[in-house]
Amino acid sequence: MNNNFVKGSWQEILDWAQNKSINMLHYCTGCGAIELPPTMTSRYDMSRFGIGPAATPRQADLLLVTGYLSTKTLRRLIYTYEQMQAPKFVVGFGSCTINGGMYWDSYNTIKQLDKYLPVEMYIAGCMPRPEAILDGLLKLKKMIADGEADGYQRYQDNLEYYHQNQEAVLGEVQRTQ
Amino acid sequence: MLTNYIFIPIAAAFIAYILNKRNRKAGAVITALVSAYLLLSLTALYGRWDITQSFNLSLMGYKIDFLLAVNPLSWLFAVMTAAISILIALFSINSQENFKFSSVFNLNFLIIIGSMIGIVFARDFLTLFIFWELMTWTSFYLISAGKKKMAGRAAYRYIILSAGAAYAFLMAAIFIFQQTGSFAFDSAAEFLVANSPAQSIMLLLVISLPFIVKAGIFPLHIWVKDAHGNAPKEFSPFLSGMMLKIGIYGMIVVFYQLSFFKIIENTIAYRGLPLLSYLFALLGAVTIITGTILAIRQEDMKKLVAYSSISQMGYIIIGIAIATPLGFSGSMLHLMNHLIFKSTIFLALAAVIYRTGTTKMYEMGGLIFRMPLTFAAYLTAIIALAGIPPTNGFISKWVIYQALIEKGYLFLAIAAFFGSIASFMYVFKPLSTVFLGQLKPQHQNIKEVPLLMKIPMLILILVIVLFGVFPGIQMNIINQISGYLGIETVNYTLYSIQGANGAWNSLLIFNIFSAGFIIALLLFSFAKKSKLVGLLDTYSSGEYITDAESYHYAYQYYRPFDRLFDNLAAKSLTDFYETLTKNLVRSGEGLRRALAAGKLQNYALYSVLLFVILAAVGWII
Amino acid sequence: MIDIIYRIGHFVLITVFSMALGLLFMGIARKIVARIQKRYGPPVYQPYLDVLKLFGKDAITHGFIFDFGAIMALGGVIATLFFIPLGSWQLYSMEGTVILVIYLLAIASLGMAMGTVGSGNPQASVGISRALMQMLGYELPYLVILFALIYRYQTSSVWGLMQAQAGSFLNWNLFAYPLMAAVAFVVLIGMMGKKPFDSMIAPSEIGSGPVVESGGKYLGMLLLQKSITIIIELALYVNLFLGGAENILIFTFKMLIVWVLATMFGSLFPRFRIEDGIKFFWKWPLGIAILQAIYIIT
Repeated sequence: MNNNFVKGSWQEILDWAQNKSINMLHYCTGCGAIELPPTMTSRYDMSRFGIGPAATPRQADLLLVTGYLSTKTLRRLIYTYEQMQAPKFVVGFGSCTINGGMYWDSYNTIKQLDKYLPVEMYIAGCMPRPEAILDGLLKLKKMIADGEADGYQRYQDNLEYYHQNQEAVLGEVQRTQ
Repeated sequence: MLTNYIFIPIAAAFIAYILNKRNRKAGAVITALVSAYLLLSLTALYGRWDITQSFNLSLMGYKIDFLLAVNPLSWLFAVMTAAISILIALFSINSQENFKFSSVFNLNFLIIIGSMIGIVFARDFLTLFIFWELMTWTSFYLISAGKKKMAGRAAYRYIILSAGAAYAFLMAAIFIFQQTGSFAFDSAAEFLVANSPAQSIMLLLVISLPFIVKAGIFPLHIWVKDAHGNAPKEFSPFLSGMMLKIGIYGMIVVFYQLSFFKIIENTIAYRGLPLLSYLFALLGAVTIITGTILAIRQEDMKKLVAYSSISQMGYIIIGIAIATPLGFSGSMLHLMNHLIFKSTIFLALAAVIYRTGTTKMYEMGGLIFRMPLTFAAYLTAIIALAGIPPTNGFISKWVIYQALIEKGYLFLAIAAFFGSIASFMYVFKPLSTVFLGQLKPQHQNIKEVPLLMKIPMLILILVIVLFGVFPGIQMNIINQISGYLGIETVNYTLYSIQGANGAWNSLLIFNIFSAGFIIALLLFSFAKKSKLVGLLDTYSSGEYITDAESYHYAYQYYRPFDRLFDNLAAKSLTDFYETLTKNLVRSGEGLRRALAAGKLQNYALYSVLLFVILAAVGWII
Repeated sequence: MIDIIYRIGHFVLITVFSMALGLLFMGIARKIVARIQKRYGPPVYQPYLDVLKLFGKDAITHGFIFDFGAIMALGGVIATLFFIPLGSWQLYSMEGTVILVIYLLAIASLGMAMGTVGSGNPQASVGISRALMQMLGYELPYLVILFALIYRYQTSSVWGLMQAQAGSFLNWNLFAYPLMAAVAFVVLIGMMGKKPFDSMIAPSEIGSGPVVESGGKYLGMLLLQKSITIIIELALYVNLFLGGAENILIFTFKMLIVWVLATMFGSLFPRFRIEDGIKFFWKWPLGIAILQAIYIIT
């Protein structure tokens, strides 16, 4: 029991550190990416919350899907997600990731991101303004601190569900895991 | 008695040749045994610096002495030769399975061993010349036995330079013989000191020519790359590790035993160093820089290492030429260390070639997962070559730096620093492109080399670390050499060396390095265990990689740097020599057309004329 | 026995102190850069959180060489640290020479290079090749400066060079040989891979170069390595040009000043192309260093 207590506290410390330090990989597929530079630079400056850009998926904690995803890019997105290391979080960005947005009837974009990857939260809007992004990320921070952001766990638990959905649109998917 | 050391290997050479025809492995085994015998009996010779041996020969009224003697310097070179030969012979037992000229290889290799011991034991010009030529010609056969098409051409370039220089050497020796009536070094030294300085200097410069060629000093280094790159893979370690050094041995003989330094002592000096010595040191500096820049450009790993040998020889030349106790000790240290780590590098590369059959670096990659011991040998050797503590290579370079800083030779020091920092670049290139990176599909099933090839590499790794921690072992014999040559000795203990402005304590460095390593290791092992993934599961901007070959950065590794020197490298010295040769041939052609159009009568006329002229000259004199 | 425990304690203390100080400096630098860019910037303690987070994360490895490289990189800098006098703290700096320090630093770089290239990622190779080329650029003027300093003071130990400047602050090499100090400052910026000379870690061009495949504890160890490297390089500069210090507080203060200045310079310039960087180092810093060295040796 003592051991569990130590483990639990250690996990809490790690969660706390994780919520204070988030490196995000902005997967700039869609138009939402244009909102990120102002969020990062002097006007809104997300770095004051400990959120900064990462260069590669190996260094990143947060995968920001900035807009619509064609099936072609979905394949790369999944590959990138699988290259990231747990704990890792996915944030859907803009209405395209929620329900397809203006591409709701397109034949080659996916409509609902969380069928393919475990989305932690969405930031709605077409496109969301920097204020909305910051608000969303602050909520994500709170979720991480409370230990609620467990998408990577969900992905592992329901691996078959996600793989089925992915293969339904993509056909065969090469996997690294 | 000293003749044993020379003639046993030469006699064994023929036995090895005959037996090798029956069994492919016999030759190499005999080479290993003979070298082991040589090494053992040479250790028995240690300390007995009074043994001499001489023969007389009366030829056409001249009395010619052949003198052999042993001294610390020649003992060291003989031991180095024997020791490295054992390792190479062990290595080549297995590696020569598919080698067409295996018998010839062992024949020539043993003759070279014998003749090199002959060279270092020789105390007169004629003996030296005979063994020198023996070594040159046998190594010529060995180089041309390489697999490549270019090997023959490379060997020709080598033999023309070597033979030309050696004949010039013989002329100078005969000139001295006419004056003194003896070929011996001692009488030659007396004569040269007494003679007019200008003439003595000229003579000594001519005498040092074959040594400069053999040591690969700029501007006579052009044979090194092709010869080393194309020689059989088992011979390259010897060629680069030992035969370049024999040139240095010759230069030490010229500088100290033929009193070159004594003769130029009172000439114009720069910072207390006679200008001629400084010029030699500058040649060393230029050698470092050219060797380095050209090494960085190579795509062929053997040629890369050959150029690096050229640049490392520059350090040795600098140290010897500045003639301070520290400089000399540093040079001798570097000479030994270079033998050790360069043979290790060449053996590791030979192992790679043995398995992959190519020397082009961009055709390989990721071999570390297939050949870990070869990688370890290469890594240790390059750490030593780049002069990173705690290996032996750092110590020797450090001593040379100390010598340069002590006297304030700024430009020599800049060259030395340049060569040292840039050596990181060229040693990292094979490491990164051959051993690291993506494993090529055609090399998936490669295995580590057989045990007999591993043993020499393992021994060399241990020696590198041993001398890196206990340089005192080497300093012992070096101080004896210094004493023998009349140079001040350097203070040392088993694991420290006293420099001019600071001491070096290798045991402390080794311990502290281990401590740092342990702290890092503890930190690493307390953290979460990591998951092993394949080489192809790597960041690729989201793209799938299926083709390992196109995801390996190897070709033109240092292109931006090479671009800085493109213009310089285009003006190749080889081209210059080739143009010179072409013009020479053309003018010879003209002469031939004018004089010898092919008529027999003309030749008769010429011979009559020649006879008349000679008679007239004889009569006048 | 007690002596050994004392030594080990000293080892650990200095290591932890330098890691902590290096991380703090990195935090300060991020704050300064943010302020220059009119941002608020992350808190000063952000790097500590980063390291803590990274050690808590999962990580992947590409085989034993990847692990070995990370350990060698960190171990190399920790070993180097013990040869540098930090104020009055000096463990083995009497025995260590400046040249040794330069080469010991190289073993860390070699470890990092080997490990990251061992990941099989070509972007790491590109980064390392750039880093090595740039190293040839900046090490050359630096070694010329060291040559001149050692010749001038006839000692090659860092401690000795520091002692030689004792007395008035006018004895500092910063005032005695200002040109040399300026060159060393430029070299320092290059050594630390700050802005004009950061083409080897260009994040958007080659995916942060050498660290492209490092995540989790590997990145954490490289961050710690970086933090100690910063301390070593700054301490070397302070010892060689600012006369060292009596105690660790003043020493830290001096290091901080140099660090802040270097950060400010670093945030002003765009990035050099790699060959232009080398050309720059060989034209100005090397030229000035040679002139100064000639002045000293004649």
